[in-house]
Amino acid sequence: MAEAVAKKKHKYGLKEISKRLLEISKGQKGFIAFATVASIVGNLSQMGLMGFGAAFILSCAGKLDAGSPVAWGIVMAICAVLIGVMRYIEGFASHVAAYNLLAGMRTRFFNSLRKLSPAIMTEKETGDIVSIAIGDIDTIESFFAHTIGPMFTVIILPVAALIIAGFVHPVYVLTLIPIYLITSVIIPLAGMKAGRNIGSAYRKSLGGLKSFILESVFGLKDVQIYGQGKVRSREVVEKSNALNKIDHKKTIHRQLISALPTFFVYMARIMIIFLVFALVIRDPAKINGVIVLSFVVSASFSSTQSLISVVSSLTDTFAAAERVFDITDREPAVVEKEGADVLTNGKEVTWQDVCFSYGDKDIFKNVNVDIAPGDKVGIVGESGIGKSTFLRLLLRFWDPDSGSIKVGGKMIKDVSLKSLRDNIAMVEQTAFVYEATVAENIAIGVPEASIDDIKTAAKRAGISNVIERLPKGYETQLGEYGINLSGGEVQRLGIARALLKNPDIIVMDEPTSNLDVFNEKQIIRTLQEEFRDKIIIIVSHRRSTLTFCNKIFRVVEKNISPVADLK
Amino acid sequence: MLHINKTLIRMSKGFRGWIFVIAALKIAVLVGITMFANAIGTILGQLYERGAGDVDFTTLIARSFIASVIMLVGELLIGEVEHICTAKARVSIRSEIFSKLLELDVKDVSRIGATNTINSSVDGVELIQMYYNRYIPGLIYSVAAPIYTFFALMNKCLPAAILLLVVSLVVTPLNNIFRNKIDKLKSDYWTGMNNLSSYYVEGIKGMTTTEVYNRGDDREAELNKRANFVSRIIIRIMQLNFSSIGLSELIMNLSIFAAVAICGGQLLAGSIALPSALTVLMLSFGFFGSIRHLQWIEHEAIQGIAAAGKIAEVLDVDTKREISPDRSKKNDFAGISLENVTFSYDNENDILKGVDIQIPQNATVALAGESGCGKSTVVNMLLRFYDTKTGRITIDGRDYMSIAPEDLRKEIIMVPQQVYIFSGNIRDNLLMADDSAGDEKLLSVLDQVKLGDWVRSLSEGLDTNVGDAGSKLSGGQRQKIGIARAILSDAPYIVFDESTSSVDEDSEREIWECIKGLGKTRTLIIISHRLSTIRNADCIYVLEDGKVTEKGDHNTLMKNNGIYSRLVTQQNELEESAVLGGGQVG
Repeated sequence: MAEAVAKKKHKYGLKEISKRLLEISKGQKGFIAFATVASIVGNLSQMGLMGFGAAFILSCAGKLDAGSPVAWGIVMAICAVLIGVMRYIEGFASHVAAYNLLAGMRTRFFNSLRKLSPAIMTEKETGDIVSIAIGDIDTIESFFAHTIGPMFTVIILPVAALIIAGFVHPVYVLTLIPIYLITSVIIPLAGMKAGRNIGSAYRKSLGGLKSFILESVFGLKDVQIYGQGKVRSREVVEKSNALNKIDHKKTIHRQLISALPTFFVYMARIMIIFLVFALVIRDPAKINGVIVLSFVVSASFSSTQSLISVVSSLTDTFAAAERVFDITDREPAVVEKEGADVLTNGKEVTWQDVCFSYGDKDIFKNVNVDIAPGDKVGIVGESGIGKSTFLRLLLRFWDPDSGSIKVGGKMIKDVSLKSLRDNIAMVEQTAFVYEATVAENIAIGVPEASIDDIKTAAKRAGISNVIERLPKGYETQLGEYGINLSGGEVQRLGIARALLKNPDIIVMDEPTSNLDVFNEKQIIRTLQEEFRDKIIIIVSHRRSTLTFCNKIFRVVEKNISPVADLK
Repeated sequence: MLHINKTLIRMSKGFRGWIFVIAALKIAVLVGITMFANAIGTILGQLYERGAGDVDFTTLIARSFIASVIMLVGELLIGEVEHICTAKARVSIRSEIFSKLLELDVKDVSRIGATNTINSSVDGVELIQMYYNRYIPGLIYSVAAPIYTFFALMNKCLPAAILLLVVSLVVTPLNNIFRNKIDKLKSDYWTGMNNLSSYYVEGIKGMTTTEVYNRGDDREAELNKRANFVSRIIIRIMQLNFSSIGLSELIMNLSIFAAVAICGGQLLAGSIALPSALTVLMLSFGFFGSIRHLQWIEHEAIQGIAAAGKIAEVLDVDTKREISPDRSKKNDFAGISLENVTFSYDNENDILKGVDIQIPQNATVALAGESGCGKSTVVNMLLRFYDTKTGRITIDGRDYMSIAPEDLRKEIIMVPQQVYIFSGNIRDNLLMADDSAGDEKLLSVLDQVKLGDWVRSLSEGLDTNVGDAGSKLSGGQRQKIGIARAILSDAPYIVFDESTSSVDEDSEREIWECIKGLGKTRTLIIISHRLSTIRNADCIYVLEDGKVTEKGDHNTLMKNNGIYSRLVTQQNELEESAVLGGGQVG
């Protein structure tokens, strides 16, 4: 039962995640192979240092007939040098592979997001997505750099030790196999399974704490005005204590999976001594072999130790990989047709029998809409009824389930996304301001625009005098670390963008909802004067914003119908 | 390498003892390791020297078993103490940072950066745990372990023990040759990583715009460039790092070889016994275990120190506010009075240049003027978010400086431009102003702000969840809740700072009606750049470049023909032209 619940919690099994990560790692297989070989040679040298060291001592004590102290000493010294050199090669090569893979994953993740936008943005917060792209992908480093190598050595080293043991006496082989299985397979696997839920609980608790502190900082003024500091501080302590409880489990888990295998290794070494004892009583001649073997065996556990040390971080890694795959595996909402046509104008818009549903909710059923050149169309309706969806279908963020949408006489499904969007400009609720200069921000749709064109667009949008008063004029940096524009100015910036791009259709999604009446009126006057011959489709819940429209559509119950009177 | 950080050491007060307990437990584990190696080495040696029949088998096996149990228990206890240490640090340090956060003013937050502030109190505090329960104990252990092992080996083979001890103490400082280069690259790495993540944030927030304007490919290419830049730098760091580790490994293993060779020589000379030589081989590997461990956790120390830097930046902000009860030279003015107030955010450019404003009890006073004239600064002074540079402010005769900000805000409250709504339900968001208010009172206040019917119509009523930071509410509803809070607080003075600048026409009308009603029982201070909304104020102060240039009621100011009447005329023209020029609806 508990197993079933745990299984449901995770979309991907451990095996599947490992397989897919290994698949990704093929992109750097040269470096990974190189690192793995170095890891194996290094770990074998570790065994050699101990084994040959024991042989050297025995030889010096005159107990060993084979070889000479000098010969054993030389191979021991070679092993010592190899360990250092291989450590360098392994570390360097595995990290070259890992970090190159991470860079690729980050870019591909962004590409997936592009295909999933804008739907993904409404489902997940920006903070979440970025922490996947930056933090989670970083965590996967430990799989590429620290797991693949030990996965091989954890097999090869015990095999080598078993071969040597086989030469000494078969009974050693039988004793060692279960021990290797317990320490290198069973405990790490069980540890990972048990750690999965602990890891996600920790993350969730930390996330909750973060949101709480985030709210306290963003709402700092309100907290101070109402003297809420003490209440909030108490809550931070409570949340930290809750986090401590989960952390306790996490610590116990981590400590158990590292201390238990070590304990088993020591038990194994004691058992070997028992065997040594039993064998030597029967056959005193075997003594040299068993002594060398006991040293070799103790060194053969070094790879187990390095595997164990990544197991506790592996649970984080797998949780991170799961979050990445959860997003990249989603189906993109629209796919461009192969050999798509080019849309050359956006003079008219026609909807014919369009049906669209989102999730299991029907949004539109058999909707017909005609928009003629130069029309100023207002879309009204209750919130959540599908006003913005109307615009998004037109921009092809989604495809209708049936029916057709035509722009400029062509089915938008048949034309390239680029040419469709070349003919439509969008002004959002709040124009997005990039970390870039004013000029670059205006020229976002036309990066090759001359400064004169940019200035003209700014002038027509009624923002040029504001820009000229900025410290560096059009070269002033905007955004978080630059100058902040007011709400009205930002909307004008968005209009300047649309003016510079100069397409046939402009769609606007609540362009005035963050403005006061005064600014709203200024913006509308600009729209009236500057977009006289364009199609404007404007979604707004404000009557006052739509005063200049010649057509008003109301979205009601899965349909869109013209209205004569707004009131 | 030594990474000692003063801030971290200072903050460890209260759990310092536990850090030493961790180090002590690590040494206990080492005692187990040594005991084990001694027992096994002795058994093997005795096998040779005495033959199987004469080995002290039972004693030695028992001893090795006890040693294993000591190691197991020690390791488990280390985890437990690490947790105690972390738990204490988590609560005490986070509380310290958080209470500091609450004292910051808005200017401090924007200087340090809101994201930065939040990161340091959440992720930062998690990162520094490693420093306390891994690095510091590891550092103590890396010195103590070789010395302990030295004493354990001293009577087996003194020259080998000396050699191993010297190498173990030298090998760590030797790594400093790579240190400077790595440090320089690390700062490049952080810059690169910041560039990458802020570009990612922007890419996601602006994705719709970017895609609609067909710039997605450019964006992705730039992103790829930044991601590769970061990976190139970190790879270079790793190369240096592993040069350092490889070199240490080389030195350590060669010294193991040398130590064993010394034992071999002494064996040939017959000056030591075989078991001693075997124990040396077994323990020599453990000799360097502590140093390998320290190298392994070093990057955790560096991360912790970087986080401590950010935390220190927050903790070092001076948030002390002057409260001097002796400055209670009273005047007789019933209301708030600003007397010749000057103020500057940066101590250079004065934003307010000798402002006199009188706000009599029960009056409605408005501040007008173009943006940048100092209106918002006056609000910051009124709430005591900042203190005057010169001049003074009194409230009902008492000097502002004699009243602690939190006490003052029981008298004067504000409805900001964008009311902040906290996650939770409607009730929680109201109770913050008066935690003793019952449902009836809450609903009657909601009625005053025209939200009562709406809340009653909700199936969960006051318990309705408002979404993450109030995302389920409209702009108008948020502002109305802000006003409801102010009403609940019972403060006699209420400031409205552009309270309707982001709401629609209907909400705006309702809000102003409500404000008008409030004016009958409370003293109101209204800031609005839309002048038609302050027409009925008892007195309007017009600010221009940090000075009051006009004052009086609407009619007086209109007759003055000054800046106020000019602004009013301009706004009227615009409002009318937009309506008249509008096309026909329908």
